[in-house]
Amino acid sequence: MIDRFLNLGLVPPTTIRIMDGVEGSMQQFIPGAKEAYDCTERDLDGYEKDLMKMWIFDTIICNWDRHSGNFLIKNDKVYAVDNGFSMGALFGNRVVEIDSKIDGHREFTKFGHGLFFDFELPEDLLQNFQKFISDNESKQILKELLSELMGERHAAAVISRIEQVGKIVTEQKMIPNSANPFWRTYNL
Amino acid sequence: MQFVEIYKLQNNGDQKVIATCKLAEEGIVCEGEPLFIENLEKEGILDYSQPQARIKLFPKDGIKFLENLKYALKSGYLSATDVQNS
Repeated sequence: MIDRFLNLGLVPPTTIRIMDGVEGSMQQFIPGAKEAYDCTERDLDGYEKDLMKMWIFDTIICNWDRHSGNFLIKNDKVYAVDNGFSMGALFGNRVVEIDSKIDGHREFTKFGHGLFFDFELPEDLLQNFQKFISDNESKQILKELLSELMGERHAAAVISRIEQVGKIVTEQKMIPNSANPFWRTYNL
Repeated sequence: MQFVEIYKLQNNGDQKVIATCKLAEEGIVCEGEPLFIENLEKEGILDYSQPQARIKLFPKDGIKFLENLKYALKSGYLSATDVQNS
């Protein structure tokens, strides 16, 4: 949902389903995609823009579990799968409070892809953030939808993180290395 | 002997074992698709029992590495079994 609102295009269509009495998520299968575990460093050349987007996305969803088994590549696109340990799910669903420091994840592959401090961010990412953070109606709709799924505090925290990250992204067009301690500090 | 099998989802929906990681005297020994194993062993996996500590586990860490594989590999594209005994 967050991926859609920010128009990132990273997460395959995903929906909630109840199977055998157990609620879970069901996601479109991407046939022929390669997990990053099946890639050489050279295989990932050319995917930097999407990897940057995924880095930002993981910060917003507080995903501590991005690694080479949790993203795929196919036809010049990166797909972020298995986002299950996001939103504090690794920490008993604790909410990352609005005024907390946000957390980016560390480099998530042996190649070091995932840390893009001081890299110029993709223009479409900047535009998408600019559009979303200036669109109060979209923010309100996303907040309401997330509230239904995970409660108001989580939803408010997500919106806050989007605004915090969006401010840095749109003003500086990069995540400066000076943001590094802030980016890596967490308060769960 | 304790071991974990790692499965990969095929395009036809079948699951294929691509690697097996076994507890040995020197730690964990993984056999299977070379590139996958090389990347898994170099990258390591998070210790999901204490995520906040952000400790990475590698084959040298023995049984803990085996025990955490099923939490690391749960995307559907890749999955790992519980620790099994043979």
